Amino acid sequence: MSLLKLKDVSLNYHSPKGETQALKNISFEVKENEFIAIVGPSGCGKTTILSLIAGILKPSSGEIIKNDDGENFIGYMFQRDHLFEWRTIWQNVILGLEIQKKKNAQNFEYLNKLLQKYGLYDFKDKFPRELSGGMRQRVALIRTLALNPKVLLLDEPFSALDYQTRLNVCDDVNNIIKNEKKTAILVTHDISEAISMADRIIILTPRPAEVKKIITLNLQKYGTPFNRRECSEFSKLFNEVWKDLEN
Amino acid sequence: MKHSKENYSKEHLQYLKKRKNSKIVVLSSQIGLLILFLALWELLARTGLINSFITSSPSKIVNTIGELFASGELFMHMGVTLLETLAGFFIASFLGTLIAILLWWSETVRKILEPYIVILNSLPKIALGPLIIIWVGSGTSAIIAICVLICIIITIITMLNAFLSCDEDKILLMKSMGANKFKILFKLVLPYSIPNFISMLKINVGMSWVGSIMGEYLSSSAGLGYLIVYGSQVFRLDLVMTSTVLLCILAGLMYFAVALLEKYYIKKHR
Ligand SMILES: Nc1ncnc2c1ncn2[C@@H]1O[C@H](COP(=O)(O)OP(=O)(O)OP(=O)(O)O)[C@@H](O)[C@H]1O
Ligand SMILES: [Mg+2]
Repeated sequence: MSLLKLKDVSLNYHSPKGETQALKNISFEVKENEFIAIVGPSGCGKTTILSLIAGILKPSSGEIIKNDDGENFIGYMFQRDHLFEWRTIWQNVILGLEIQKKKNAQNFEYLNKLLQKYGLYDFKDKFPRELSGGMRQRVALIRTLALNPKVLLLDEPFSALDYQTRLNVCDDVNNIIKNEKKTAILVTHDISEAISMADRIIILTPRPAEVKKIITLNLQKYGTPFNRRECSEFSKLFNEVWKDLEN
Repeated sequence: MKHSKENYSKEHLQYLKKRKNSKIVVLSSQIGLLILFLALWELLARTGLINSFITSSPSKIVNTIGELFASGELFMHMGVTLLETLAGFFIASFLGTLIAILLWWSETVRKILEPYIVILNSLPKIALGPLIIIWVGSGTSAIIAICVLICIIITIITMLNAFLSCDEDKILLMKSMGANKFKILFKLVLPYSIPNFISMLKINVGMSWVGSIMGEYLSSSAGLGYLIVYGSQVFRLDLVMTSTVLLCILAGLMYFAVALLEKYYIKKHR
């Protein structure tokens, strides 16, 4: 069953300098518990797709069908963690609950469990600046999970981290998403990252973005993203995606 | 990481000692410099190398303070000016921040008012002094009004810039969690701007003293600014010097209070 469906979605930006067509007839489906990666040249409209799905923007034409009427269907995670420096880790992760007036024992228990499970419980009362980049990104993910969204939108969540940390956080985040049974849409520049995490990769053309190709991967059997990077099909897939991005 | 003192390495203890020592050097030099300055001033005045009728001297200033105290005028004049300054300071800081919030809230209002604020900012506010005295009547209320006028424009500009510098993505994050504008203001924009608010307060300490003294120059019957004008008119320069010294002390204390507030904020959030 498809959880989310984009049907011929186009979007134009309007500014005093003129009109920019960012997206042209984008269509794809996302199934429950699926991990989708979106890759495309820089500035092609990847973030725009996420903003549309999150409801921050409205499409100029076309339709976005959400197969779910609950609130907090979507959780958004940005490139930088955007933790609030004046709040402790705990105060940061309950931000969403605070905004939606959902501070209650049950939700707090869920958050405490998440913090414990992912090694952040001891840092509850610390301020963000006392944490490493990787830990901060995990806190940001838990802040997103607090509202219990079905679909996670990840906009280059690892690009601000150094390579070593990136591989680790990649594994961590993948682990959390699988454990908590979330559906995810990841936007990335990094082809290996897309191959190592996704079930399907959507390749976009330069702006105005159209769907150029959708590649279905079958690498789940290899386990974690790190292990998937080691598998034999990896370099073949890498070349395939790379060629599609080139022309 | 917190260590108890016994766990400190020798190197770290040495570092701490060095830091403490340099602090002592700075503080004692500061005090020494002041004493040296006062002593030299007194000496030059007593030996007649400088004319103490024009320059006064530390001992004369102390005497003048004593006289003012004895006649009960000391705290009266200090109190009057302090009250005007504090009133102007608080009204300008909070009203200015409030107006900045309104301007942040509505982009349209902001665009409409922008040229007016820019012009008001470049206008020497004191030029409006005589007008204000005619409008609100001479005396304390006029002085407070002048003080507010001098501080408020820069307060509005500083705070509005602070609000607008808040990361666009953080606002998107709040929106993606369902926050309305009111929540974005109170949970993100205002707490984010507290450091700027504190530096604005620091600027306003200086500005509000300018305002109240200028106001007293224009029209007053009490206060340190009044004493300065009065003293210079009757050529009692001891009185002028004394009032200036008292001003220094009060302004310094007020700045110190704001600095303490800043220290408290940093300590709580670090
Ligand atoms: N608010 C806006 N107004 C006008 N044009 C915009 C706006 N936001 C984005 N654009 C333009 O739309 C195009 C797509 O932007 P978008 O941010 O979706 O691209 P992206 O693929 O996420 O880029 P990047 O790889 O740099 O993250 C870009 O050319 C950009 O300049
Ligand atoms: Mg982007």
